[in-house]
Formats: sequence, C-alpha cells, structure tokens
Amino acid sequence: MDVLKIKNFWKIFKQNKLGVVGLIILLIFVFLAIFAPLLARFPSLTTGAGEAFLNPSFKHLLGTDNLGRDLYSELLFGARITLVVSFIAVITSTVVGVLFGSIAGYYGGIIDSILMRITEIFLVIPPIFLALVLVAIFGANITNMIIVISVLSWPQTARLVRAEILSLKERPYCKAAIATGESDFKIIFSELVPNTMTTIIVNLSLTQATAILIESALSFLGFGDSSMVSWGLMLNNAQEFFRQSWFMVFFPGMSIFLVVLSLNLVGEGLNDVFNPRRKK
Amino acid sequence: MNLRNPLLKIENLKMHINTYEGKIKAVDGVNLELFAGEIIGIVGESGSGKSMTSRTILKLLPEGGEVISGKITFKGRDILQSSEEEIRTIRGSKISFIFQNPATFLNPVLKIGDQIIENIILHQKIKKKKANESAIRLLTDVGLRNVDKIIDCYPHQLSGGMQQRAMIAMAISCNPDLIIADECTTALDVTTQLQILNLLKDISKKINISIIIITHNLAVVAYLCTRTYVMHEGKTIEEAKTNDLFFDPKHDYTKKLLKSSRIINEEKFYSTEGESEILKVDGIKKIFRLPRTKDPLNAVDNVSFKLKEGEIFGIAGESGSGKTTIANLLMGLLNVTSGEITFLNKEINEFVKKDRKKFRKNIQMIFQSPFGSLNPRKTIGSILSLPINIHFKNTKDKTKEKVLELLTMVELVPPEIFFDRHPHELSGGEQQRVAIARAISTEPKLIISDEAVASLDTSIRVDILNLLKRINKKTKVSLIMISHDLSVLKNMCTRIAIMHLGKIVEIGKKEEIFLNPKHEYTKSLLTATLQIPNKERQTHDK
Amino acid sequence: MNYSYLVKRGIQIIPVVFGILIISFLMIHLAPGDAVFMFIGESGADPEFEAAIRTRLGLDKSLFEQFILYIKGIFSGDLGRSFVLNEDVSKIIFDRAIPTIILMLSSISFGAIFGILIGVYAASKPYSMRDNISMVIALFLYSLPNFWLGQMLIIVFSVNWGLLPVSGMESMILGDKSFLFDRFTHLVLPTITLGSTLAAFVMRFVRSSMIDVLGQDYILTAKSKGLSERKIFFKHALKNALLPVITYIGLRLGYMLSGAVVIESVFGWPGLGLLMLDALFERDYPLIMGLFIVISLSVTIITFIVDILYTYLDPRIRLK
Repeated sequence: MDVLKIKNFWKIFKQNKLGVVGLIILLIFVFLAIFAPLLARFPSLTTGAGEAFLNPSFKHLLGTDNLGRDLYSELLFGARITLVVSFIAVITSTVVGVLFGSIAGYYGGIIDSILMRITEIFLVIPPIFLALVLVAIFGANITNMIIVISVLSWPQTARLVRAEILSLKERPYCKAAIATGESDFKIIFSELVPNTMTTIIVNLSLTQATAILIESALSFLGFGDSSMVSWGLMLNNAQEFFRQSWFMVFFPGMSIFLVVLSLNLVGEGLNDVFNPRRKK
Repeated sequence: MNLRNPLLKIENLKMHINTYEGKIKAVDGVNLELFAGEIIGIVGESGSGKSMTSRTILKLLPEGGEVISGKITFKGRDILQSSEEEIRTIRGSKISFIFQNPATFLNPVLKIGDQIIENIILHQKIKKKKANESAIRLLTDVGLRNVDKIIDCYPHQLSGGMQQRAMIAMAISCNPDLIIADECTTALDVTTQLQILNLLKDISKKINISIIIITHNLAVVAYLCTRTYVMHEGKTIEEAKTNDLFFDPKHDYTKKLLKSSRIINEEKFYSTEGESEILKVDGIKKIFRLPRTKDPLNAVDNVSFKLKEGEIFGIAGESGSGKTTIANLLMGLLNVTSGEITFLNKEINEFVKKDRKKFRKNIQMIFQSPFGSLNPRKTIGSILSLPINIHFKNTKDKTKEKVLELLTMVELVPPEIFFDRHPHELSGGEQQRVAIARAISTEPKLIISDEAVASLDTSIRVDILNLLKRINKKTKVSLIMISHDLSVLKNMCTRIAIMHLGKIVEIGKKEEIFLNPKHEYTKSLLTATLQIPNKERQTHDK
Repeated sequence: MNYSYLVKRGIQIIPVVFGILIISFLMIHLAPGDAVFMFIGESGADPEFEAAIRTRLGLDKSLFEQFILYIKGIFSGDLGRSFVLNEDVSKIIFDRAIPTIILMLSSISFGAIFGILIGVYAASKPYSMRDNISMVIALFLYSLPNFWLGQMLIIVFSVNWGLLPVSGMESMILGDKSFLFDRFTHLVLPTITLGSTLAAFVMRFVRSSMIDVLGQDYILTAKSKGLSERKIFFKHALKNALLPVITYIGLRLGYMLSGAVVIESVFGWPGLGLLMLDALFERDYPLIMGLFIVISLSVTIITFIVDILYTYLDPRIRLK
C-alpha cells in the first residue's frame, strides 16, 4: 500500500490518537493566527487597553499585562509571527538541506567531506550563540530572524538526506539506473530523492518545532524583532513581574508549548505511518 | 539406540504469529519423531516453517507468536505444558541451538570465554575457575588452537569459521541430548562449511548427541542425515530415510524440489556462439585501500580472459574472491588500477568518455537481490520504459508496445497488468524477471549476471536460468554468469573461470573443470561442494 | 589501544577548528560598518587614535594577512581586550567560566541519570503502558520551552511557596544556612530546568537503543541458553544499549550550552551565558567574539574526548 497517497495515508494516520490530537491543536492555532485581526479585541500592542495586571475577565479573556495590554489579543498576533517565521525558515532550510544533502551523498568525495565538516561545525557551535552573534551583527528584524533560523536548521536536514542517499545509492536499482545510462541529475532527483520523501516529511514538522523554540528563545532574550508582538517577547516582558501576575508568564509560554507539542505529535504520527512498528 | 521411545516427539503442532499485517500460520501441522543418537534433517524453502518449528521446541516464540494446538514431548516431558522456569533448565543444557550467522548471534561486547562459561555456570552450578577449565577443553574439542587467547577474545576478532566453532562449543558445553542446528553453515564459505559439518558428525558419534539439521540445502541433508523431513507451508509433508527420499519421493512437492535441484546439475546445455570477440580483459588489477589501516587490498589481481559473441561464460568464486569487483569494473562503475578492458574493440575508459550512451546501451547487468533491483516508487512500466526512452527514439505508444513485448518475453503475462504494478506487488521471481527484461530492453551485446539466482528459491531458479538460455538463443547476447554456486554454472556456461583471492586460478571448458581440475583450489572447491545424489551417484562419505 | 583511530579523529577536528576560526573572522569583517568599531566601540574617538588602532590591529593590511595575525593571536591566548570592561577578554572569560561549568556538570548528570533510568524502565516492557507513558513524558519535556519551564518553576517554588531562592548562584547573606546547602538550593531549579530537555532526549534514545538491542540475534542465543529474562536484560542487552548513549550525550553538548544561555538569563546565573548577553547589549565585540571562539572550541575538544572515551569502551573499536 502506497502511503504517500492521501487516502491510504489518512487511514493509517488516524489510528494514532496522539497524532490526531496534535493535528487538531495545530490547526486551531493556524486558524487563530490567520483570523487574528478579526478575533482580537484590540489591535496589536495597544497599551492601556485596560488597567495593568488585571485578572482574566470577560472583557480581557486572559487578563492584562504591566502596561495594560490585552493578553488575549497579544497572544493572537504573536501566533502569526511564530508560525510564519518558523514556516518560512523550515521551507527554506529544507530545500537547501535536500539539495546539499543529496548532492553530497551521491557524489561523495570532496563535496561530501565539505558538507560533513560544515554540519560538524554547526553541531559544535551552540545554536543560540551563533544566532545571537549573527543578530547582533546584522540587526534584529523579521527577515534576519528567518535567515538565521534557516542557517541553523539546514545542516540537520542535509545530514539526514545525505545518510539516506548514501544507503539508497548502494541499492541495485540505483546501479541499474547508472548502467542504463540515466543522467546523474535525473538519478538523484527522479530516482533517489523521491525515496527519501518520507524522511523529509517527518523531518519538516520536527524542524518546525525546533524553529519555533529558537525563535521564541531569541525573542525572549530580547533579540527578536521588537516592533512586533511575539510570544517570546511577552515572556521577556513578564520576567520582571512574577509576583504581580503569573498569567503574563503562563499564557504565552503555554501557547509556545502547545504549538511545539502539536508539531512533535504530528511528527510522531507521520513517523508511525511511514515506518510502521510491528506490534501485536 | 532406543528405538521404542523417541527422544523428541512433535504431534500436530500449530503455531501462529500475530503481526501488524495479520495472522501468519508459521507452523501449520508438524509431526516429527527423533530417536537418541540420530542425525535427522528438516528441509524446506524459506518460509516453510522449519526454523519456527525448531524454536517452538524450546518455546522460543517470536514476538506475537502463539501455539494454537499440538504436543511436544521431550524425554517424557510435555514441553508446551511446562512452565517457563522448567523450560529454562532444559535450554542450553539438554537441548541447545547452533544458529546461522555466528557474527550476529554472538554478543559483541562479551568475551568468548565469558559467553561459554556463562552457560556452564548456569546449568552445572560449578565455580568460575572450573568452568574456565571446561571451556578451554571444549574449545580444543571443537578444533580450535591458541585456545587460551581465544577465551579472552571478542567475537569480531575471530573468523567466521572460528566463531561457529565457538558457538558449537557453547552448545555442547553442558552435554546436551539434542542439538538443533538452524542453517548453521549457510553463512560460511564452501570449504569451511564442510569442516563444520564434519565436526558435527564427529561430535554426534563421540558424545552420542542427537542432531536436527535444518537447511534449505538438499546436499547438506544428503551428506549428514539418516532420516529427513520435508516441510512446505508450515506442514511436514514427507518423511523418509534419506536415500529413499532422494530416489523414491512420494509427495508432489518433494518431487518438484528434487527435480529443480537435479536439473541444475545437468550438463547438456551449450550456448550458440558467434565468431567475433566482443570483450577482452587484459591483466587488470584493482587495488582498494582498507579504510582504517590503509593496507592495500588486491581485490582483482592480474585477471585476463576473452569473450565471444553469444557465449555464456562463468566466473566462480567464494565471497571475497573478487568476482563482484570484476563485474563493477566491466560495467564502468569502478576504474581499474592497471590493465586494460576492451569492449567492442574500444578501450573502456575511452568508450565511456566519448560515447557514453552507446557503451551503456550495450552492456547491462542483473543484480543478485531482486528486492532492491527495482525502484519501489515506480511502476514496472515506468521502470522498463526508461532505458528504452534513453536509447531509442520512440513515440510514447511505441515504447509501451516494446515494454509489453518485453514483459511477454520474460513470461510475465498478461503484460498489461504487470505494466501498472509496483515492485512490492510482485514476488521475488517476478521481480527478477522484470530485472532481466530491463537488462535486455536496450538490446545489449553483453549482460552480466551477478548471483542472479542466489536469493531465489530452488524451484524458481531453474525457470530463471532457462529463461536466460532462451534469451541467449534468440538474441545471441553474451552472458557472464557470476556465482559461488558451481551447479548453476555447470548448468549454464560453456567456459568457466575459477577465482580465488583476486586471481583466476583456472579457466577452461566446463567439462575440463569438472572432470579434470588442475589447480589445487579448484579441486578443493569441487570436493567441498556437496552434490545431491542422482541416479548415477551414491551419497559419498568423507 | 587503537591509536590509528585516535589519530584519525584528531585529524578530523582540525578542519572544524579552522572552520570556527574562519566563521568568527568573517563575522567580524562582514559586519556592516567599519571593523574598527568592533574593537574600539562606537563612541567617537579622535581620528589619530583611530588610525593608530587601525595600524596596531593590522586593519590596513590585506584580509589574508589579517587572518594570519588573528589566528596567531588566538593561539597565543590573546583574544583581544574589552574596551567596555577594560580588561583582557581571556581573563574575563576565565573568571566567569566556573558557574557555567558547575551548571553544565550538574545538569548533564541529572539529565543523563534521569533519562537513562526512565529509558531503561520504558524498554523493559516495550509498547506497554509504562513504555507509552514514558515516551509521552519525554515528548512533553522536549516540547517545553525551557525558559518558560524555568519561569514557572520559579513562580511555584520561589515566589509562591518560598522554598527555593529566586535567582542567582548564592545568597548575599548566609544567615544560619551552611555554604553548601545554600549553593545547593540555588542550583536545584536551574539544574532541573536545563537537565530536563537532555533527560527527554536521552530517555527516547536509551529506550530505542534498548529495543533495538533486544531484537538482535545474540539475544535469541542468550535465551536459547536458558538465561533468565533479568540476566539477559542487564548483562547481555544493557551494556550494548548504553554504549552509544555516551556519544549521544556528547552530541547534545552544543545544544545544552545553547540552553544554558537562556537558563542563565532566567535565573540570573552569573556564568558565561549571562556574560554573553551583557556583552551583546553593550556591543562589546571583542568579548562577544572571544566568547564565541572559546565556547565553540571547548565543545569541539570535549566532543573529541567523549569520542576517545567511547572507543575505549567499545571492544569492537578498541581491538583490531
């Protein structure tokens, strides 16, 4: 049964209850992000919408922060940043990663050595450190954040794809393709990479989860785009006000947690579909 | 020998395995008796249930395994009704196993001595020092030397043959009544195989141990076993004294199995040869550098031979002889370190550079494993269309027509149905036929077959070999058959080259090789290669 | 002792080290604006002083020559001088390293032990209730943003219940508490926060490694010898399964340091992470780059050491 066909895919995926839960949570957040302007009570970053440190009420569903901003509205707008930034970063890094990984894996030799050394370097440099330095040098805005996160994420994807290609390369059908006289380009992208699709897809959701954690960490440390709301930024703001309001900490953080969790659950679900385990 | 009460009796055993994809009837009605001191065989193709039956004897069921019905009696004790604790006292002490591949069946992080002693201490409850002495004695008994060093070695430091001897030492360490040997020589090379089988024979005589030999190889059974059971689809379908089995089989399946194995021994086929020489290999060498030590490995060492149009040529050798490397060199997948290969009167490197397409069109390869030969994401039609589209200018319809023709030629009918299928929907034999179709699709002058039938069941093997012969007759394509199995080569080839450690030690017409071998290695290969008895010969004893 | 393998690994590090140096060099010079300001700060200085600095730092030479000077400097321990703090960068880093080392050691120990225990527990009955729950716990743990976990723990344990200190590494006034106890209470929450992510990953890794090992052929051999489940699990399986965990933890080192920056910020822990953040705010470029190099090289060297440790422990590599 070909699991890349939607009908078959869904049949197996829905058996994984946690995966389905994750998908639902994810879709809810996507919905909230898309319709944020309609759902929010107040436009983004409106100080003084209410008194400071209000508890959740009907007017302010999740309360207010130290400057009287409506937490509920801030949260909705924050969702947009988080999801958009991470999504674009993931797509970019996956494309780059697949390109590099497949070429390095197929040709081996110098290209491969270079790739392996690059991925090792990225493994050794603590990601946040590199991100902070880059943001400090080039400035903290949305575009740079996306670029920085992409730069941090592509080596992992490249490594994964390279490993798959290395093993697929040894399969007789690849040798047969060479023997038939197929061009290298066609072999890599028409024979080999399609067989890595399952790995790439699972990797997509897991990479996005990581991307969100990096983005919020950067914002939390104060190095995100300060002109826009972001959940990490909200937590940064909340750092001084533990005693006054724990809502300021709880809601943004819980949102990050739920989105990341849902992505990881979906990733697990995808993994179960593509690499079924034998159980009774 | 106690003829009245069997040591082991299996009655109507049925065992099912519950898997993710459904229920598998692994054992579906097995009846067996074994008397003390006997060596019996259980023979069958892959999936016949022979291994599963043996594991059930010791209640070593796989994940999801469940005994549905039946009875197993060992020395009067009802195995299936016994508790796990009671069975554990039998495992390793009264009944022990020898498995197929000692490299994976020995724990890589424990020393050899430790793994043997563990068994002794558990069952005989003696102190470590005494157990150590026993271990040393056992390892010597199984024919190993430098035993004190081996005790402290880890499995990966020993060769395959030595590892298997260590496993045997482990199995006999507590003086068992029964040893079950599950394909225990399949992973070894031919010469070592014979040594191990002889070792088992000796042990059985000396210590009066009964042995059950489980194998797919009829020749092994002919060599060792007095009685044999034949299994098919989970059932024991025939049982007879070995001689009777080979000369007077009762069940249809047994007859079919024997016929396939015997046909492979036929010598009657000769290929239709043309006059022109299409391939000349002149003194080629291929040296690899070992990854860690950078020592040179002479994979191919000064090999020369020629090939005529339409000829079927064989290259025989065990693993490590260099035969696959030669295939890769001929295909241009690897470069020679020195020497020259001339194909269709052009030097290969030149050929590949200047006229890559023509080169690739004229030389094709069939690989060993049918699984992995075909891209799982593509349809059969798409796989076969590709080479045609690369090398011939056709319209889409013409290509499809050609593909359907090919499918018919390899006897995959009706071809329209196979066109749209994916590889995983086909059986091993069917996939191999597709691989053959792909090889002939470019109308090549030379096809190299690297162990093309090794992973197929015996009954299918014959069909595939016959298919290749028909294609050779029809299209006059030359074939190079590479195999470790001399009977396959005997069946197909006009001339055969014997390879050992990278060199061709002997080359000549097949009759000369088989009836009058000159080189020492050829001789030892031939004697070690067990033959199943046919009407002209009797089971030979060594 | 397999020296050839060691040498080979040693040689493999060199390009990585080189790469790190090149990256940091490039970052300094690719930054928008004049590189001089990275060294002397952005406060307007008089042109003569600027020119003198330029010559002294060799900024008037070719890029390649600058790079050579740069490398020479680093290997002789000269990481430049922080104009903000008016001290040698190497000294600053050296003074602030210990708190981070303490935090890392304690978090790694906590994470590894906790992770291994639960991973082994989960693997003892694969696909059972205990396994599923353990893996869900792991999933939750590594989905948590660790800074949020830290904040929530502070709110619960320090603000609301007053059990543990809010921040810092030590109390200003010891009172009647012992020195060690004080240090310990300050260490608890940061350790749990930083260690929990590692624990989650180790849990999953150990569990899958164990299940993998339990499916190996040699386990069947062990069963066929009549060994008890317990013995097979602990003697035959565990050693094989835990061996790669060491390398795995080595691999997570970079990520852990990454987390340490954030955790130090949440807890006000006076280590290198906090130092980095201060340096970034102050635009103290020499210190920033110095920290970058020191940390990256440290991880490289430690990973190498972990590798050596592994080769010693795995008989397949240690011998022949």
